[in-house]
Amino acid sequence: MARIASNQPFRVALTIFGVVVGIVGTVGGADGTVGGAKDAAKLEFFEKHIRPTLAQHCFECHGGESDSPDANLRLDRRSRFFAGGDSGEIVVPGDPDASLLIQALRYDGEEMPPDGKLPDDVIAKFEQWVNDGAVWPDEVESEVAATPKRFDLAQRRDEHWAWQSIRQYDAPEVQNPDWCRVPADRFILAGLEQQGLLPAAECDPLTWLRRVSFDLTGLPPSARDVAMIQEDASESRRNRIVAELMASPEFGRRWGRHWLDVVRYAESRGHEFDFDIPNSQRYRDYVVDAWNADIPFDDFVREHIAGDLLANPRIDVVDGSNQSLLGTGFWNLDQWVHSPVDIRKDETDRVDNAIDTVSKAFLGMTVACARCHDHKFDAISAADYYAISGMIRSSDYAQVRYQSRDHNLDIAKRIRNLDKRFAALIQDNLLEKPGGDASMNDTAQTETAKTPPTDDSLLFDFQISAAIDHLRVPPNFARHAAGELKPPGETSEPAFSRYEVAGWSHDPLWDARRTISLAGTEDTGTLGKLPRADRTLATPTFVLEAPELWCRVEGTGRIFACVNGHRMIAGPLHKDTIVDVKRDHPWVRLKLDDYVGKRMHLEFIPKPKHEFTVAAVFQGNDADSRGRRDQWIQDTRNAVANPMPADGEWHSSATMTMLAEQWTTQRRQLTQQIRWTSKVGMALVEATPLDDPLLIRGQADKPGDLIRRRFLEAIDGDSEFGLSGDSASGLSGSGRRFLADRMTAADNPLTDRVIINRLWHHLMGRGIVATTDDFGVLGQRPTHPELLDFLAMRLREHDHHLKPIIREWVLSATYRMGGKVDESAAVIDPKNELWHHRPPRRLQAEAFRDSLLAVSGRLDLSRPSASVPVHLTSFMEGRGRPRRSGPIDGDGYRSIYLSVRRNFLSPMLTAFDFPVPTNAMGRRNVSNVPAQALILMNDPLVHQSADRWRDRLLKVEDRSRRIDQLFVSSYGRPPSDAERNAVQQFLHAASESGQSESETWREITHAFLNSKEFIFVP
Amino acid sequence: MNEFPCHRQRSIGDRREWLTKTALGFGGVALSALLRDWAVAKDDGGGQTSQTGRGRHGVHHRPRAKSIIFLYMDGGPSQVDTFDPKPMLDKHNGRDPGELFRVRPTQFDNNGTVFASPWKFRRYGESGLEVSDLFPHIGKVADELAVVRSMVSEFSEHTAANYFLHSGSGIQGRPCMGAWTHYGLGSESENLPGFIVLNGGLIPPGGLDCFSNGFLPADHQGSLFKPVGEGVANLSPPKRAAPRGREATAKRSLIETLDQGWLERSHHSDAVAAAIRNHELAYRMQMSVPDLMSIDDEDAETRKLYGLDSKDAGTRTYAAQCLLARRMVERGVRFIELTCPSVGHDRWDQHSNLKQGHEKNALAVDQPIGALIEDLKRRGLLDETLVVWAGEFGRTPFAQGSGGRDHNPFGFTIWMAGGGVRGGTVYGSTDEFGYRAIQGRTEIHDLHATMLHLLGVDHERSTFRFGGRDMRLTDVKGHVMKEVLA
Repeated sequence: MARIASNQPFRVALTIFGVVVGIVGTVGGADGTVGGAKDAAKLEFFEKHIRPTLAQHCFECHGGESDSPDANLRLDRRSRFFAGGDSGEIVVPGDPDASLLIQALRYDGEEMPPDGKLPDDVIAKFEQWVNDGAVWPDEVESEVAATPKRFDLAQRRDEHWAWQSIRQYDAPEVQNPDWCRVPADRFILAGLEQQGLLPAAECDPLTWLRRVSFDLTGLPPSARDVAMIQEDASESRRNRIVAELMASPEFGRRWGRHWLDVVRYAESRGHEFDFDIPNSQRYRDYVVDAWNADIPFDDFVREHIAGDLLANPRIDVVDGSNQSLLGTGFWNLDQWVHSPVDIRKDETDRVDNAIDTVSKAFLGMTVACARCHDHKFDAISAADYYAISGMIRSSDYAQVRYQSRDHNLDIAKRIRNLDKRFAALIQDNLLEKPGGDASMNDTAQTETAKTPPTDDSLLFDFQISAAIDHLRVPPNFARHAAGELKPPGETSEPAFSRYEVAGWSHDPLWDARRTISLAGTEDTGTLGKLPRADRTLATPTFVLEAPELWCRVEGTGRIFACVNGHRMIAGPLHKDTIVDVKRDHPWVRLKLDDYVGKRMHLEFIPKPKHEFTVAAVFQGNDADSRGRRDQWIQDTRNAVANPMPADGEWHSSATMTMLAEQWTTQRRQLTQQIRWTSKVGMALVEATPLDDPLLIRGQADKPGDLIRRRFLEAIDGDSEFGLSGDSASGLSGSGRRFLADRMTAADNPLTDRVIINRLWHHLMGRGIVATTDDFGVLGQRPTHPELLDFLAMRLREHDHHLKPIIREWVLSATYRMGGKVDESAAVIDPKNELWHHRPPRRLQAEAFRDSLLAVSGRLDLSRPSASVPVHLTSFMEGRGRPRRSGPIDGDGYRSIYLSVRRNFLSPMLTAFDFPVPTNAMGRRNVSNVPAQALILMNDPLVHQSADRWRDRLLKVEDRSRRIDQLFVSSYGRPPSDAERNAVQQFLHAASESGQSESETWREITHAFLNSKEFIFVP
Repeated sequence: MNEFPCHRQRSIGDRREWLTKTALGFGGVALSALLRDWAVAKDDGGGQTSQTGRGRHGVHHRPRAKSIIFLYMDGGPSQVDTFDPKPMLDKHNGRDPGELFRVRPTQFDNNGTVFASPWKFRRYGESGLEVSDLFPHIGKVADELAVVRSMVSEFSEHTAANYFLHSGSGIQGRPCMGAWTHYGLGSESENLPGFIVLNGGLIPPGGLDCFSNGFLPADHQGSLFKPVGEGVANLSPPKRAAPRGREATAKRSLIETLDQGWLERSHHSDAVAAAIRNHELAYRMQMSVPDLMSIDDEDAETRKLYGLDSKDAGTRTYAAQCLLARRMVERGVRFIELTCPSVGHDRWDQHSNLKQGHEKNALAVDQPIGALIEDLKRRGLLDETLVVWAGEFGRTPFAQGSGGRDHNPFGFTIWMAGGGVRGGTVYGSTDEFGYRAIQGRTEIHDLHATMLHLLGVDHERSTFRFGGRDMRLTDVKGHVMKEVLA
């Protein structure tokens, strides 16, 4: 086929590979049963019109030269052509319209070739060819390429270190045991000795103090600690200093922040308008508190993965907070898109980020790389990815009243039982009376005989007593039958009324609850108006089959169709997923044309202080069904609508009055126990357990086989272990409970190694595995694999408490090494992999800013009630810009309490490598940019700090002592003689030139903030 | 900065002596020579080292351009109203597009009828390139343009599409093209950042992350400049008068003494030495940025050429941006991106009032862009400067509502000019309605591959290991658009 000189797609195959194939014997179509002269003509047609086009336009991506042809589809071999690819067979001989190949050429769905539709006459040739049976000559088998390389998970697992069990190693023998202070030192020393290297000399006590202060608390050493260690650098003194630092709340603020990097912590959703993530700060505080409390790390993991499902959650004894529940908040810290055009693809992107985060954070594995295909390097299959994806899609985002949730659910249950009991008693009592109401008896006794009509279009029936599986019921909703007595209420005279419509009803009593949400953090967008935390009734997940849903409801509220987990309703699309329910409009239609075939659930949200009852949901516009349902409701309403006994009659019954009083009293006793006030936090909760289909090439619109929810095959094997309702093995629900167990199981070699390595990374500046979030093939190998296992075992000995490990390590000989590089070490081990010295480290962003506050005396060590807004500069523009700019000094709070808005991060912190919260970032960049130096020279906070620091120093009368203090507060050490002289000379020259003392000291403090030692830890 | 000692750097001869000199004096060392050393050095894969101006791999082949000016047309200009004339729209104006072709889901789902362009097209230059009446000045330099009419994107939403255009990925947090370029080649400027975003007033949806270094070290991130005033944040101290003369010298000398002591105590740590050098660059920027920003130095003819005297405020802003871009190119800045000035019509995003909105946006950028190309050419800089004009997607050939157009990622137009580009050409085409690319379909990855190629970089070999993968600007895609190369 001739190429047109200009304007021609440039991505065409350069040579026609694979055309020179021996044509032998018979020719055949897909079934290989064609012969004779007529077929010779077909064969010629193929060679003339079909093969050249394939060669020119298709082979580059779907040919044999590529290791992995796109979509696993090869078009250069007869056998492979007819075998098809990821999407199945591409040709139905004789039926062009049913052939994927023809559809793709027509640009109907798939679009091939991608760089331009072929001319119509060429497509017509293909249609004719398929119509005529898709005749293709047989090929010599040996010419047919071997099957593609198979992904061998077991082999990969066996060949890579990280998957192997953690082994118990003894500390090795060393030549110089006296050097070692803790057993782990011996691993380092043995490595050095093997190469004939010596560890660097121990650093001086003040250097060590500066290290431990920053490493443990992120703050410079206090003057008191400096004095203490100057006076006495003994082991007992050091032990005491370390113990104090680790017991201070600042420990959790330092180490909690490290963890927030790993879970991409943020307080806004990013994307276009940077909407709030409501109450994500509760998660931040949870993390800080957990590190301070030294929660065993395996518990910390369990709380993250499935804190909502633990049998014995961690309840704060003081305020009743369910801490475990808050741990699940990390799942929801991702970016959210409003108005995605492809709502399902958007969901797959969110799931992808969750899988990426959870697998890197806890396992050090890049499971998200297996979204589109089996992992290119690691023992992780695409099925592994979708096994976990199923767990995430079987769960749901929620705002929860974490101080009252379980308690109030329990109270609600007891109230419900009480109501049932009294309603029945009174009912019985009424019946004993001569004037009693027989029809009510009838209703109560024979409701089953009067079940509502069933229809094909009926999706959920809330009016029957049978439980709906996976219905999510908050305390304010309960199911009532028609005719059931309502509680008498708090009036002096008992006045009864009845539920007229069966269904799940909201009890406005619960609207007296006070919900403490952080300022400005209700969900933004259209959904934001009504309070939803623990007062929303949610249906099980279902696949929409018709373009509309009809809900039979009573009362006032709102219905939200949560499609593919999409909740960021703001903007032009998806408005139809929210419909308001108004009084006396019992049928509410949701127009959902765009979502047919998609997974969704419904949420029913009552308007506060209003009645709201959910009766039934129908799929499709089925007026007959609706009519029958209305009729049934009317019938039952009529049946129960008989008037209550007349007043006189009523009062005559002492029993009745007594019962009513008892009911009211006992109910009051219960409602008094309701926890009315509660803070709200973000959590992941259970939805409907469903397996997820593997998506072919990761494409949202190409579902493949369903994948059983389970843990990674490389660890669990391809066992029958897993979910899918397999309650025999104790597994149920989304599978997160199971995932939490497997993450923390002793036979899982990853989790303990990964956290130990993170500790090491933060204390030493480089992990034993340098790539903290990737223990896979492309990550780096451990420099000291035996030490890694030794420490992991040590962690287990300490029941997964992290503080003892950290404490031991900062007192080790290795940690105390100085920074001098031995000549031979520089040659033998230039990258310091064996660890022969400790290079200085630049302060992390938060430690730098907190140091400014500390030296200037501005540091406020309390926790603000809400994150402090970032100070906005004129360079910070764009959509979603916060309305309020924060104070320059952030009111003196530690940097972990500055707000983390994705699109408006603090410029000072980002210049010093505060991470963009996108993916797990266990290891920050350490960069060196002019913006940092410009900040030190000119940023208003730096200048403010210099001023304040100066004011503090000037209070010290004695000039020599003042200089001492200058050095101690900025560098954690006294000055050398030369340094003291330099400062004195500066003072002298300044006074010669007539500068005031105040001005001079201000320049000095500013100069010290600009000196490099201020931003380094030796 | 370097947390782990790095073998390669230690092997640079006389380094310690040099550092001692710089720490004390800074004056006489040719920093550019050092930058060039860095530019060709191979990284050892440790993954965390980075230094100001240091490129990772340098050029892979002979570069055709040294710098890129990226004219970002925020919001998505309409292809059928600018560079892709479609007579069929006139013919079928007012008809239901669904009768003519398959209409895909749109962002606002409020599709109107086929909407003929309100502007005439005319042919310009020897090439006869067709440009609409929105751009008479750009029309004058038509022979320099290579117009690509067959661009496609993967996203219909601004933010994702912006991230995609800038970083090759639809999510936040990936390194953008400027960062990748700087990572690969470093900077040729001794005293300016190598990747500058000149903000005309409109930071695009997605925010500053469109200019992010992502997982690359922070020295590759875009530095945000404004076309007015000081230009850059923290360039001068707040309010109070900074010390001058002898006092300033004394203060600097005090810092140098302290730093020298610390350098010795840290056993000449690389990280410390690099921080000292960085401080010095910041000092120099305090001199060089004001020099860069003083466009009043330009002669009257030049100022007029760009439109600094225009009655239109948007034109004046963009004129200053374009003129500054040229001055940055002259000073060796590697990658310069210009964002749009605010003209009160929400960028090029005309969901309604296409006529007024596009006219106002075009008015702001047309004359300055025409001037930029002409000025670069007459100064002999166009040959080594690649100018790229692009939005994140195009717009639908049918109306949104009545007078607007919705987002269209299925086929739109961008153009390139200058270094290594064949001027006066048109590449690719959309269907007869200008809706979908049907010939020479070109992805954003292809654009990125081509931009890197012109700078001498093979996009497949410019990689950075992150999260277990060797990451690229072009991910696993991208083909150099050979047809538009000179």
